[in-house]
Amino acid sequence: MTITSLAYIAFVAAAAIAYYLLTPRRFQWATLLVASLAFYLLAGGVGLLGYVAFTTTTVYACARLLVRAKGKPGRKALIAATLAGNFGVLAFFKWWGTAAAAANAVLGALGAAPLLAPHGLILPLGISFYTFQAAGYLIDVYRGSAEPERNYARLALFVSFFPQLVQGPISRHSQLAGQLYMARAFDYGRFRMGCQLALWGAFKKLVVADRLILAVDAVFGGSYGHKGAYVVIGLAASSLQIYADFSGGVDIARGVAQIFGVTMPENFRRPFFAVSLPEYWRRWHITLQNWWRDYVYYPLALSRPISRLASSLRRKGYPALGKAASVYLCVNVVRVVNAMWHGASPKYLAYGFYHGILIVLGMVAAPYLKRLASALRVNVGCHSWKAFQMVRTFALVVIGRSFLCADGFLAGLGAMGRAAAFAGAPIPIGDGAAAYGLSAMDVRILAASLALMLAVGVAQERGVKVREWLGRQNMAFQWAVTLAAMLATLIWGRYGYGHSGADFVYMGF
Amino acid sequence: MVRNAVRFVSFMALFAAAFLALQPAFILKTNDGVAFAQLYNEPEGSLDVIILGASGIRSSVLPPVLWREAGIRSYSLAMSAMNAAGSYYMATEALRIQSPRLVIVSGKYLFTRIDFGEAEPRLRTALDHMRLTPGKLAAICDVASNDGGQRVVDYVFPLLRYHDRDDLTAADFDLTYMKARNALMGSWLESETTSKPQERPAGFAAGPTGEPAATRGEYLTRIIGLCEGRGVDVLIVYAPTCAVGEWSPAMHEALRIYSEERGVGFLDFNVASVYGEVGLDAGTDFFDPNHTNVAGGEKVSVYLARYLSDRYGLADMREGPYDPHWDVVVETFEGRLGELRGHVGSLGGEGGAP
Repeated sequence: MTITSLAYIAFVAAAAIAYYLLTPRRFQWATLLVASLAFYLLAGGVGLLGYVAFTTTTVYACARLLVRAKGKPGRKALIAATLAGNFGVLAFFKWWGTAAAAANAVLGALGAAPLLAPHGLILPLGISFYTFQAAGYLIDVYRGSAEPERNYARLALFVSFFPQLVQGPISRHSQLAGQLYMARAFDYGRFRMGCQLALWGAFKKLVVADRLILAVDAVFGGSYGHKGAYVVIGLAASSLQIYADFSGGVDIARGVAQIFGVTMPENFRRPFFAVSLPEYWRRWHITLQNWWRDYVYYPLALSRPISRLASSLRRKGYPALGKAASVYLCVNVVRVVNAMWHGASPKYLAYGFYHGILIVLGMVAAPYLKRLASALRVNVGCHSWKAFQMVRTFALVVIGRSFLCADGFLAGLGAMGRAAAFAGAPIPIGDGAAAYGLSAMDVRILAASLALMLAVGVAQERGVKVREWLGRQNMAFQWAVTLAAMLATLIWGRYGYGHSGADFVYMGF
Repeated sequence: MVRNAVRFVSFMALFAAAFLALQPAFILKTNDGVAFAQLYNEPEGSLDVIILGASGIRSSVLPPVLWREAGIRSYSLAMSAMNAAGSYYMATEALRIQSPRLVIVSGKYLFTRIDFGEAEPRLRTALDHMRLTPGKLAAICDVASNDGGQRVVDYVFPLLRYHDRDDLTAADFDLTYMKARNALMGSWLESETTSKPQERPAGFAAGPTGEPAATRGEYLTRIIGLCEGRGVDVLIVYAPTCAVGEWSPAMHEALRIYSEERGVGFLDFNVASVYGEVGLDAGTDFFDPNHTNVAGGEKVSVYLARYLSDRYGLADMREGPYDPHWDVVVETFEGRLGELRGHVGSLGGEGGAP
């Protein structure tokens, strides 16, 4: 059961009816738990439930023990062991294949027979997202910034809340738990807004992302040998596709959660409006970036080895470098860890370093560029300058996609080289659309849809809350817009018989 | 709360109305599909014969000729590349709304395997224009149970299947055809515009050409069972063919035994005696190896009209007051025939490429 299927709509409707109409208010949370477990069974199968149970049980037990052991030695070892166990399962699923292949290659080079085989297990649905969420909770308990949950079932709900299970967002216990356990009456306004957000997400996924993927496959699929503008268009399509896919899925999750009265954190804040790469990463997969910041970046920056490095540079007469080096190092660590979370492949490593190094270069060059701009009397406060910065950032993001689209480090470099080649490409209009695996109608639909997304993005950047704005309009207008969106998604969406029905990209992570 | 509930229900009703109103526009309007849709416009109890099969039967058994020759009221649901399952589903619906005396069904169905995945477009032809009845739901469930790639909901709401049609035109929104009667009673003469000389290989009709194909006639058997249950006679017809491998004496024998065991009629236009009696000429009466052209179809139908009158006692309905639509049918057929003759010079002569 995918979250864009009719079955999922029926599931959510049934769960909402049970939640609001059939369950006494104080047990509403239990209905959510049952619904979450049912969703996991339907979407992932019985066997996969065991992984969620493992995480819930170990984290629950560890949190309880951490509180009891307050002020006593061994707390650090306890949480380290629990985190290692949970992240170990995650790492096993994500990295075992690569590790086994590497080990076998080494053995082969030594003349020995391969020893390790792929595990052959299916990646448990949403394992990354629930593992990160549970680990965040555990670390918060360890730090004393979150109260340990006494009720096992309630913690199970926090870990497995079904709307976010597939691809996040990754919520904090302090943000989410209270909302999950709260008793509430049905609120039509909230229900309507939740449905609208989920519809918007489905539109982005089915109409935009699943159409753009055709162009990406046409450019990078098979033994491609395209050059110049062809590759640039493919990379741009890929960047927009992954955004529409992932943010669409998260919008569905947040919309469905809102139907149940749960407000989930924003995961994307129009990343292509960012004027720099650091800002891009503050707008992209926000909950994961915040997770890295709070549980990796800060602890690392404050760790003894990094402090020692900074002190050492200071003592040697480089105080500024001492301060900056720790930041540069931690930024790169976070970017690489973030990339490697996607998988143990050199392409992800290259992608991580690409962003890490560019961010550091930007930090190093910032004061000089500021002086240069001042000397050249560049007006950095005007809209055109901001637009230039957005285009520049988007271009850097698009170039970085080379490693992922071309599926490899060297292939990525090759794609960058080919993109830089002076070569034209068919204009994707009319007959030219076929060169990108699209029909002329596909291109028209994409143009209209992307223009709509841009318009909504501009409005949101200007502080307009689109759904609230819509809610203030006359009912006829509200209905017309919602009806048009529903029919557009149904008619223009790529789904059903004859379509491959691309899964959400981040379901695989 | 009540106000919001009314609002929500009203909005959903509006959506449902728009969604349902769009369904027929998105359905493919092939000649075959339209022919099935127009079956609903035939007055109740106005048909004596229903014809089921694929294009071989469609090109050979022509309702206008059956009427013109013997006053037999028939309707052809034989459709391009149709399979036995699709014909079975259509038979279910046809027998629900009509009370024919006889069902003619293609003998090829005994030998052809149905791949429900590959057959999806044909199953669609059979089911898309069918009204939503328990019979249609049963048919859809049958399809879905035979092919995991096809979903019940896509058949109930065809928009979910055809939503990606980018060849949609204003004509798709013109649904007047659903109210009209078929001017050729399901016949379709378009692909038979020219004749193409064929050869009927020496020995084609004599001696076995190999083992009979594995019999996979589950749906043929179901069609017979359905007809038996309603007291309708069944005649299995093997349409004439020149294609080697499409027919053999061994296949004829298998069908003869099959028919005898089930007590239904069997008429094979490929056995030398019948082929000769009909007067078929491979050089002039075929459009391609597997299909008779209009001239061949006319010959087969003239013979069949006599056969049905003699064997099944079907009354000549022209002898009393009859539905004037049949005059339109014959007129349309003759007119079309005239056009085709004018187009190719003379049917049965040297034809151009189709």
